[in-house]
Amino acid sequence: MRARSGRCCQRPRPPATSGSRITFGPSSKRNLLSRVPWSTEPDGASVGCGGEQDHMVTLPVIACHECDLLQRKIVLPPRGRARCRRCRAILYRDYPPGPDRALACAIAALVLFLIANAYPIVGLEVQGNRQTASLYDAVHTLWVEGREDVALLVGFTAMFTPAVEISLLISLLLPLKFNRATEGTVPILRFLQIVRPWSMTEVFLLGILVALAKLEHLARVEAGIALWAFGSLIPLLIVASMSFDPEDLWLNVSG
Amino acid sequence: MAFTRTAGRLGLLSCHLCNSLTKSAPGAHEGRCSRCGSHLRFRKPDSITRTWALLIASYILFIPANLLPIMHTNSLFGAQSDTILSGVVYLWASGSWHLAVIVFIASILVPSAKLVTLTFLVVSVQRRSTWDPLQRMNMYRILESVGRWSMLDIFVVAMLVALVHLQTLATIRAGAGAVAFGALVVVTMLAAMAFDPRLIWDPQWTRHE
Repeated sequence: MRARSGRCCQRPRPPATSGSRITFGPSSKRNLLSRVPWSTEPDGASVGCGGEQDHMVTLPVIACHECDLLQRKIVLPPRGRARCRRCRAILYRDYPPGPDRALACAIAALVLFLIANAYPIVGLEVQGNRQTASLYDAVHTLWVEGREDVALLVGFTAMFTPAVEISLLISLLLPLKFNRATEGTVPILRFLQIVRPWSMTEVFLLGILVALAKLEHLARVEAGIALWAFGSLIPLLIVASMSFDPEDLWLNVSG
Repeated sequence: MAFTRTAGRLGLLSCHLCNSLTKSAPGAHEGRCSRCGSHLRFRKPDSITRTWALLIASYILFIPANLLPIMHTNSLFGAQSDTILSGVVYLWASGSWHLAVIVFIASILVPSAKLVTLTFLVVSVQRRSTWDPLQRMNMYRILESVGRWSMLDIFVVAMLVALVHLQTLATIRAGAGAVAFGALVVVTMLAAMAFDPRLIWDPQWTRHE
């Protein structure tokens, strides 16, 4: 495992690493020790390599979620990332302390999402006739015209899943902020993992822009408030889901 | 080689949700995460079979998605039906070549490249190939992250339909191709999700046995 910027013993964070400790009984210990090139861990714990009397060895070990390679966790430098040494997947990061930034971004994203849905995205003016369209109008028109399946797909990926994603994030971060242990953390995380690939706000934004550019030949088009709301929602949502440490959630669950 | 020790090989189930490791019962193929209680398996269940099934469905959907019109335009100048390709050609001909390139990449290049790449990955895993796993891993990462962008054309049609609706100048309606294309995007995304990238790496350790 490699830290992004070399040094690895700068900021010890014992609570965060403790989550992934696993314990091996005496039978599997020798097995592991002979195969994995363990190094001494930076925060002081070390692998016992004494006689058969050592019954338990506690190791902060992690398996890469993309290639399954076992490797030891190390303490990262601030803002560092640990990558799998075989497949280069990002295993974990060092996060700025606390869920404050993530929570702030998630709440801002919620407000922007409401604006993005309540106001027209674009306006079109042809021969004095003015027509505006919001996201709801798009779904509604498709539905009325008999393309219910397309309407459902658009409504699901541009409206429903982003709404679910934002509200799940907030309900995850609020208890974390106030240090409350909740029952809901595990199901929320599980649901978030399912929902996330289907939330396509950024693709929708590009779609709006392409549609606008297509209509430019025909009529005068103007961007509505919702377009700007969608535009600023995307980076906020990315920052919100990237700037809290998932390990903190597990401390809350087990504690 | 020291770094071919995987969790699966040591009988450890790694949790997709909380990243912790759980020792499995001897001989068991699945278990529960000791930290969060998630249902764990060593590899995604029937990964190759499921990916194949969804891939074949995608290949079938690919035909109507590209042949059927995704959009009908009725205007003063007459009625017109556009498939995805003719839409790109129209954009190119009307001078907005940058848009034509974006739509071409998102709607034609990405879905077809995704199908070909995923087929290659499944075949290579089935043959237990050891050819450059990092390269194949990167292929998988790209196809997984890029797949969603194919939805672009669906959103374009949705916005056009909503805007050019009950206008005196023209009306635009979504065509049957939009349904097939939307289904194609969803099914290819599901196919990519069914594929377990750890299978790319699994033959690596047997080679060093």
